[in-house]
Amino acid sequence: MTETELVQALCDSAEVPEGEVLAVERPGLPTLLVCNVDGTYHVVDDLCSHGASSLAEGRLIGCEIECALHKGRFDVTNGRATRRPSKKPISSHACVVRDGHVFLVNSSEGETA
Amino acid sequence: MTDLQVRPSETEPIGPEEDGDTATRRWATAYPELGTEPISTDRFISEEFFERERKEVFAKSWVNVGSNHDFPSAAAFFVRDIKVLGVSLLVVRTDDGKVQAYHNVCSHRGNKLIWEQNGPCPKVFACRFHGWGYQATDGALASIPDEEQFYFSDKSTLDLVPVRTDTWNGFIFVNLDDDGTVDLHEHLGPLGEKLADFPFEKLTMEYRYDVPEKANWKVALDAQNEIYHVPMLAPVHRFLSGGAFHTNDDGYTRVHTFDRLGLHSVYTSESDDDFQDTDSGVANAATHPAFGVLQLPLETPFAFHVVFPNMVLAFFNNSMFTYNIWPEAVDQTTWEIRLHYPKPTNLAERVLVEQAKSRFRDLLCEDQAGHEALQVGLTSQARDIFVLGEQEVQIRAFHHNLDNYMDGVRR
Repeated sequence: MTETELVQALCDSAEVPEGEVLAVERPGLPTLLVCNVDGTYHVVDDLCSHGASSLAEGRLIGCEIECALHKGRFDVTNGRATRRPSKKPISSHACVVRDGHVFLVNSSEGETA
Repeated sequence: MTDLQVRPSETEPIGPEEDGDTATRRWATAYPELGTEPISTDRFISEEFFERERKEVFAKSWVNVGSNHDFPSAAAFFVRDIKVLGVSLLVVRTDDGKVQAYHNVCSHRGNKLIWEQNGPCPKVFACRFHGWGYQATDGALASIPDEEQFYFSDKSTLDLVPVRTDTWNGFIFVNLDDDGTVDLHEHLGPLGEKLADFPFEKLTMEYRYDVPEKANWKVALDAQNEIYHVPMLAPVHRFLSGGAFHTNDDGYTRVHTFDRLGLHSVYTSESDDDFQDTDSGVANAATHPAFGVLQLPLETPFAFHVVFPNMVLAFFNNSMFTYNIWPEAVDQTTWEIRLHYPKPTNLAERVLVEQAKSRFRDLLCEDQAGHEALQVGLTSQARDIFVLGEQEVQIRAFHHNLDNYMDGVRR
């Protein structure tokens, strides 16, 4: 396993049930979106790369978050744009779950939470 | 209601400045005569404007009424009822290949002469009311049952009334204006020359949809006349291949080329040869047939010509589609859609045609819903003007030409 350094606690894992997302604001960080895909947590930027709107208002469909504004989609496991009109990816961030909290970590590998 | 003669006031364009590869004033700079001002709502909802279009445009212009493919056999006829012109036309192709349209009206009592939609050409067209007969070769009155009962001073005045007819590359055009307008060759001008040789005669497999719409005819045309909406409209449009409709890094399409061709115009889409499609996109693109040696005149995978006033002739991934957008009333339109494919040479090609047709039909269904929604907004008169962007330059060009034509500037 890759060494990981817990950078920032984002939320309680219980706050994000399966199939749900949560926008989290922490000092010094962009607004982040914590996503629960079938029990696995993923963190991406909350800002759609297309219309500059919050993705937290959209639906999580499988591993894709759909922007509420123009219905573009992103794969939350890697940030890739998967449906028009979105074209540019959004940033994805490694995370782990420790003691019931979702943490941002500095490892590019991340862990399965 | 706004005075129709007064166009919206000129406004200083407010928009992104020219910026290298993503120049946004490209067309406004290249075609300053088109202006940058908003467009009036009136022209889509005013009965008065519609009546002017009917009298000054449709009744005084070459209008496409079909093609050689509409004849069921070599010597044949088809009937074309055109509400905006208030006419029924009998279009006849005789043994010698000559095509001539006549008013489909019996000289006896004014009955609609031929009621069938099409058929093989008879020697004589006979009215079903009293049996008056007209020669197919020239429309001359040939027989009158019980003729002695009539009082004719000059029987030769009772031939079928011909309508100005001409053809271009297999397409049939008529013009109700007997002599006040230019001939078809001049009307089509540079567009006619540009596409004179494309092999339309090889695209013999045709599908036609006549779509009734509760919208002004220009709503349908305008909505089709740009690709700004392509990456946005869901769920079908946004799956159109980036190979034909490339989007830039911000997710927007760009008009690749735009040319004014007399009264007509054409835009092409920006495409991307290196486009890496998604799996679903690849599957979609695979439904567009590639027919061996047949090459359509494609500068890019998508070229959209507006043939003034109401025809569209477009090429898309080595297939072709045409529209004839028929005004029925100010808020009623029939959107005639024809998809043209080469005759398949094997089962695989036949399946591809069926897939492509179905896919395209679904795409246009999505458009149709948008057209009617647009009319709702226009009819509300919530706003008396609307704005057009750079990527909608061909819409601007069309309305510019329409205004000019109604003012008597007809080329």
